[in-house]
Amino acid sequence: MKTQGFKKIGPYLYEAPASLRSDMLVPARLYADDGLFAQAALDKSLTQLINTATLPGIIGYALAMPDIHEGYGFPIGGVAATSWADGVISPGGVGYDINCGVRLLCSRVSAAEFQPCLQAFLRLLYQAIPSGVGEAGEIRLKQADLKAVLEQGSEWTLHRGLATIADIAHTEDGGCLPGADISALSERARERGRDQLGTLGSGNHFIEVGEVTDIYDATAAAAFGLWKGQLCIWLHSGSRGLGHQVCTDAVNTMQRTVAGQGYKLADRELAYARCNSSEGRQYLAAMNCAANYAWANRQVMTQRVRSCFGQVLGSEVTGAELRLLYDVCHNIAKRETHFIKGQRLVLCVHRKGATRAFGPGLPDLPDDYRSIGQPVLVPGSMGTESFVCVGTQTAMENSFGSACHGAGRQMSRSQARKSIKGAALRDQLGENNILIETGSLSGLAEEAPHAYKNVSTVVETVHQAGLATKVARTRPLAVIKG
Amino acid sequence: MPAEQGFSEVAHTADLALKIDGQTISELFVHAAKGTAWLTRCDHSPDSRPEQHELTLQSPDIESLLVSWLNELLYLIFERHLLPEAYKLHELTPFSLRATVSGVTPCKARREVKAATFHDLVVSETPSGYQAVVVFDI
Repeated sequence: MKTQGFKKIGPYLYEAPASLRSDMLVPARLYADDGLFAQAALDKSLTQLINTATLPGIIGYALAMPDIHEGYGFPIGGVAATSWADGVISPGGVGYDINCGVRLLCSRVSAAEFQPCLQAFLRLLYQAIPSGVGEAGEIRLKQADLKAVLEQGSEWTLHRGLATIADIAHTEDGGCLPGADISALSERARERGRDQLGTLGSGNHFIEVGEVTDIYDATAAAAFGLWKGQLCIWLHSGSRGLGHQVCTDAVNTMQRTVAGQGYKLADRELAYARCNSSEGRQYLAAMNCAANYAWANRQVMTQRVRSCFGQVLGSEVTGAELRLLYDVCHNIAKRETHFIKGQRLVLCVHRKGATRAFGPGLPDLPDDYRSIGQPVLVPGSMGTESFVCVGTQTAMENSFGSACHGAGRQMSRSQARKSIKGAALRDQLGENNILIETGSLSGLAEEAPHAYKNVSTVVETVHQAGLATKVARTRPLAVIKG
Repeated sequence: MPAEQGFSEVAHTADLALKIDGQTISELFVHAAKGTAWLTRCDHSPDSRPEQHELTLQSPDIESLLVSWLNELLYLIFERHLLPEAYKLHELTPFSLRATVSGVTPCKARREVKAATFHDLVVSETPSGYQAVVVFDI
């Protein structure tokens, strides 16, 4: 096995020293067990992790989580913090789907009680929430409304009765990053945002109805309101066409900046700008717009989910009956303050396919979770388990308060399509009592469970490494794949 | 897909990638466009009508130009609902391009392709012309 200069320095930690390559500014570290490291060595993800270590102003380490796989610029699973004062921000460290993220809704009913309603609920959801390629939603935003959505995020949905105060409190950053400015968006990005609010998208986006099967941490589970047998609903989506247009525009602009300034890049998708430059500030303002759009998007869909839930139960469902446990983003760059070796540092923390995992005691957390830590939501692939974990002080000390985001792919889409037909996969999942609704059977095949790493192994790694510890496990009952 | 189309899908862990060939740079750009449209799996609509779009692009180098070209096409496919069928490159330099894209509308793409990326992208010379591998974020 080619280790590409990485050495195992702990049971779940590999490191490549900064001396490995002359352009590295810091070491590169991967949280992984031996099997996950061997998988990472099969594609370009380790090289991408090393490339990340060349970013100007990078602090500490270039990091990657155990769900690592090849991405653009950063590997998926990549985390890197740069000095806010004189470091850089890179769209390659955020991704095309800005604020792609996941939320978990928890009900007061058990999965067993809900079973007779499951099929009808799935069909209602599939009709109520547009999914698939280019689907538009019911909400058509005029310029003024779009501006409000982009600058207010989840708050916009609160003002329109589509969210509760508890929803806002249980969303990372209250569902709104400050400094969003619509004037930083191209006309194309704005155009793409006008009719996609409340839509799921396609690819690996999904809604999953599940059941809590295991509780590992009774104290945290009680704080989060989780119990064994509980019905829960996962929702995974992002900023849709607006978000990826922002990224495309920014990568294009920064390519020109880099060429004009004569910067040497380890990877063109790592094109960057100083956080305090006009290009950097423009990207931040635009990225924050996209992030806020994504939060509003997930909140609008949440309201639809609640409406459908109420329809099948024959009564109105409030935010209490289907409560938002938490919403996390896993493609973002944020201004955060961290204490590194006793020094207070203001950083630009990039998480690309990685989740914030703040430990207990931090003011960023809602009141009801502050003593416990932040929920870390880790969805598995379609057809496999998912996990709720909790952030830790160890994560604050070692990974800028970050952990994994999901299972991570291990197989190409073309290989997945060759390995199984979508109809056969749907039937297979049906034999395991997992209902599926999808508009694309070939898309379904691409998302087959065997195309992903074993999420249990990924989660066990972050658990043993102390970055995010296990609280509960869920299993899927029904899935809408976008 | 037939080899004479000038593109073929290559494996990528998370997304999609095309290997593109062309005897000339212009042909490479046309084949890349055809491959991009193929990835999106656009369907004809029974009431489709012809439509043309003029594109003028400038970029710092040939790889940036190729990425911009393909991202413009993706915009036409997903936002203008154009099924591109023909590409006429009036001017092509390593830094600029002027083209007419003809097709029919409306079309519905059945696979979302967010953007062409710079990942590992090099437009290289080969014994038979030019080649590039473009990775697309989906």
